[in-house]
Amino acid sequence: MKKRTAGVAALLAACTMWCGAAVTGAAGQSGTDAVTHAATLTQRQQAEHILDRFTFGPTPGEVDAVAQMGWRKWFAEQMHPDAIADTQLDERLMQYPSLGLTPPELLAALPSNLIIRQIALGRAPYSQNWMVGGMEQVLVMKFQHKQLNEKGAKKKDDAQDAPRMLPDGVVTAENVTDTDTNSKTARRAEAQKLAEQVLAAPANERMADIMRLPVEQRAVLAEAVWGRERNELLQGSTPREREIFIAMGRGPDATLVADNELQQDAILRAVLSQRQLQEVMTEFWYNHFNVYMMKGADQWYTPSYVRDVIRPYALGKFPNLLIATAQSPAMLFYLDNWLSIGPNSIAAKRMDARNHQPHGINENYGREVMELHTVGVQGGYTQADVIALANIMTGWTIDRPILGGGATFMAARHEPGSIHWYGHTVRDNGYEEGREALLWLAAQPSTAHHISFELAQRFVSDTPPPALVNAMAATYMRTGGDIRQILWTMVNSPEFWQAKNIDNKVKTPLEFVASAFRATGTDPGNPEPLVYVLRQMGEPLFMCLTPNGYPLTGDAWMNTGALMARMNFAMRFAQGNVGDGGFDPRRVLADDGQVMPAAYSDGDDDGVLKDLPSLEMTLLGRRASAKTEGVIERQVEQMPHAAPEQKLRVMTALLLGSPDFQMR
Amino acid sequence: MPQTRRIFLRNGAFALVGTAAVPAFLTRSLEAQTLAARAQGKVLVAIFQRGAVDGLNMVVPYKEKNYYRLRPDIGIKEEQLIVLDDRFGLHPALSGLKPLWDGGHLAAVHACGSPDPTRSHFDAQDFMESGTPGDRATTTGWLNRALTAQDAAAHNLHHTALRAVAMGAELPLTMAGPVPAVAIQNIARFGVGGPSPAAQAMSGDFKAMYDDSSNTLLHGTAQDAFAAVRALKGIDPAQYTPARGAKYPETAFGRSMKQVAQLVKANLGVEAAFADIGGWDTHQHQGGAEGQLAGRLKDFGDGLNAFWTDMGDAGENVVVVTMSEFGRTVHQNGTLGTDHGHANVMFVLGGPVQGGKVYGRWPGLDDHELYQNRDLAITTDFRQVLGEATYHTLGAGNLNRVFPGLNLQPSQFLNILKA
Repeated sequence: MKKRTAGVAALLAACTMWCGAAVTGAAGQSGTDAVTHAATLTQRQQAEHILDRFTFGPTPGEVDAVAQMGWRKWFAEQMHPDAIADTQLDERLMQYPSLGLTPPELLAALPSNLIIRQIALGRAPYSQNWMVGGMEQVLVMKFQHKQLNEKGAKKKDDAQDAPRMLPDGVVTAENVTDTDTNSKTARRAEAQKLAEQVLAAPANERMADIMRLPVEQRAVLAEAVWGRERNELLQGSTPREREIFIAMGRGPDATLVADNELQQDAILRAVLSQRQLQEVMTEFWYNHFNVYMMKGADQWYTPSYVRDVIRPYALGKFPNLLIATAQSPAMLFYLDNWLSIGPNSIAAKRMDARNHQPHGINENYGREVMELHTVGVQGGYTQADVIALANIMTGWTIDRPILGGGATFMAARHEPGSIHWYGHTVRDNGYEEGREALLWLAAQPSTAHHISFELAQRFVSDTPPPALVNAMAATYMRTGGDIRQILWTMVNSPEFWQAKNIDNKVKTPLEFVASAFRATGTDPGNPEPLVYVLRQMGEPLFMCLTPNGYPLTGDAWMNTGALMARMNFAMRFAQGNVGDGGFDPRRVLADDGQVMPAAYSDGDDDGVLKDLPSLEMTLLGRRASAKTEGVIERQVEQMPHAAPEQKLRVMTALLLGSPDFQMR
Repeated sequence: MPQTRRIFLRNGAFALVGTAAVPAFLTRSLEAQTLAARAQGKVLVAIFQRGAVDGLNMVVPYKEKNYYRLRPDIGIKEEQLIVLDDRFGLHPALSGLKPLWDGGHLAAVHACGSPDPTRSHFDAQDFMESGTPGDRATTTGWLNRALTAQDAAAHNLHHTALRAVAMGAELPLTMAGPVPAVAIQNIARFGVGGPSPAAQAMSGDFKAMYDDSSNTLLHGTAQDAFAAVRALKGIDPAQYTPARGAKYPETAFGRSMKQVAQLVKANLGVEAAFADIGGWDTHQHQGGAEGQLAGRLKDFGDGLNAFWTDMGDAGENVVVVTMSEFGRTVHQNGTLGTDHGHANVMFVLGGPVQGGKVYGRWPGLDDHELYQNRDLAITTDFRQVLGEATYHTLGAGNLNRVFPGLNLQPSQFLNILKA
């Protein structure tokens, strides 16, 4: 344990110089370029545009507020998230105990499949903590059941569903009569009984009561009690107890609960955080330095990757961010560098002597760090440069990923000798070689261009104007990759405010869903269902398989299924069927969160429709297109007997599913 | 038609101009072939076994001494196999495939795969789906491009909204590209709102809004979506009864194949379909004749059997190809599983298939015959198989568009399909 920590410390110490170089000042705040161009827009339009680009959608009243204070002041405030209070969010995130843990702590709190396996095989002890130990008993039992099922599947098939030959020679199996259905009902009934039993106890004794149940019953209870019943059962329980209960209901892999918490965290932050720019940039950089959370050890490294590597650097300097990702266990694991062994290293010679399995360098990180993270695919490097960089990076590894160990430098794996790379020679210098190479990459104009292009693609246009990208790249070079300064150059540019670059970006699924909650002032309550909504829309959070991350352009997010999913979401949302409390039509028109005007209640049929323009301003930040508005008017006119509340629901659904709301 | 697509067609036309050097008679014959393929309403179904299936335990080379020497615990014994010929036998869990084989509808291609040496699932899947091994920049899939290759030659054909269908929530890379492709998870739930009059009215409202949207991307996608919904109106998945007693496994794969069959049989203009099946990454305790892998194979084999049974006569015009990103090590590892390897097996099933035969040159499993001393070597590029399937099934005459840079010629086909 101590050794692991030391390893991390050593790596981080090497970065101190960079990390310590705090970004100061916000030159460019007084830039004048944009003034003239933004001047063609009204104050309100300016506010709407900046909010569209750097938040997950404006909240009711926010456009007017920013119009009043001026977009510049708002942007400058957002540049310093630490100075913005976020108490509502902080309070909500207390519900997710795993989010603050280091990887080894996380594995202890919510053991991985591998750890459960070790316990099942008697190679690791149960936890001494009664609650964790009690959970582990359930997980081990599930692990053993799974093993048996996999082994037994074939036997059962042979016995019950013996294939028989039909006259025409086609093999078919007898109907697989699902005994599962019966046993499910029985288990549910048993769970009900157990739940009543547990409910009889005071809230603070319930978890102890649950842990006193036989292991099998504990599992039955945790699996079969869901939703509202679960909330009732766990009312008064601590978040940690909740987490344990949920893990027992799933399993055997409890780390999945932490991963799910991270996804919920991201959704809550998108909807509720006051530090919107930081969250938008965190999403942007995570995507740029993408790791796939479900790849082995990244299951327990990703939460700390987001928390400790991406978010703190999201508005810092690019070279710091690059180094931080390079030495994160999450990235080392995802792009395989931790396995890479210099062919002439001491470790390789030892393995040769022992006639060990094939070993050598792994090019994965060496390639992607150039192609995706820095200079870009047209950066001018060769395959030989990929191999050379992989050699330079040998030794950057992880101390026992299975235990959640930290990043470390293993000199024995490092390729000795000076290495010719990218037109120059990197002197033999162990760990420092990798650092030097990465900082060299970060300082290249091609990197400045590549990063600026992506930022402009995310925040300005799917086809970024070259002049803008060049201006941003120049700022990058002048400021050593200062992300704040690059963003100031962007918003101070004429291109940012051009009419063709307004409302021209298709929302990603996350932007779409978050903006629906924000626009209507709806609290998502328990955001877990939204994790699955986003998965269905093709954007499972932290689960993009490929290192290039999710696409930044609209065409990739629009397919038939995705668009219909958005319309369906809009309809379900407006009916109040998404989220705990759900959308409340009586509040949607009231900036101050009060109930709808009394005028509606005395059968004033036209009243609701009269408010359509203000509903549009609330939900879209602007008036809808004439077509959209016309369709909505016609629809509402066709339902004269509907209650005002229902009309508001229909109007909201149609606006959220309209072409207008798909864009930002 | 949305602008994006018009642009594409212009590009398509441009591509034709680019190949103007091709002799006219050749172009004409390609066109004729394409028209013939369409007239028959042929369908190509691509199935991806994600996670790298252990092909050596799927179609077992039971005469190889090294197979049994290197797999003492997980090798399938000859007496357990469904013997196919004097070299190969099927895993017993694939009993569902035996009648298809005996009927001459099923062929296997062994020692087949991607020439790219990557052992990364993600890269290898991408490469196989894009059809451009080693090139990460490709953003379109081979199957979508195959449909454009057909377009270039026969742009006047009428295509329906369900021309390209992928079963699942997302559109797989295989299907991505300029041809409208529909991702369907569940036919029953593919639509806007429910059947209630109120929901139907709102669905109509959405359609009206998007019909007039000036945003070409949204407009085009919505048109595809509503057209697909309209096309699906006539079929009721709840009422669907598979023909000839076909029994689909109650699994995700079984449901996918059932829906593909339903779409194809409903004559909705499906030309290309895609389904995937996972759970093949058997690093530990994969089992032998029984166990983990056997369970997955049963799902796979029974699903294909049900599909073929269900298709009946319509199977004459269907070709199914199966693939997986790479094979697995010849030797079992320390945890009674197998690690990432190289060559693998593909199956080709369908009416035009000259089946009952294992295609491809067998490279052998002796130590000196192995790729990098550990894996089955590749003797057939997977694109030779897919190329032949697209050429004959979809009339994708322009193979350079399907597999750019490969310069694949019909003379390189293995002649798995009747010409």
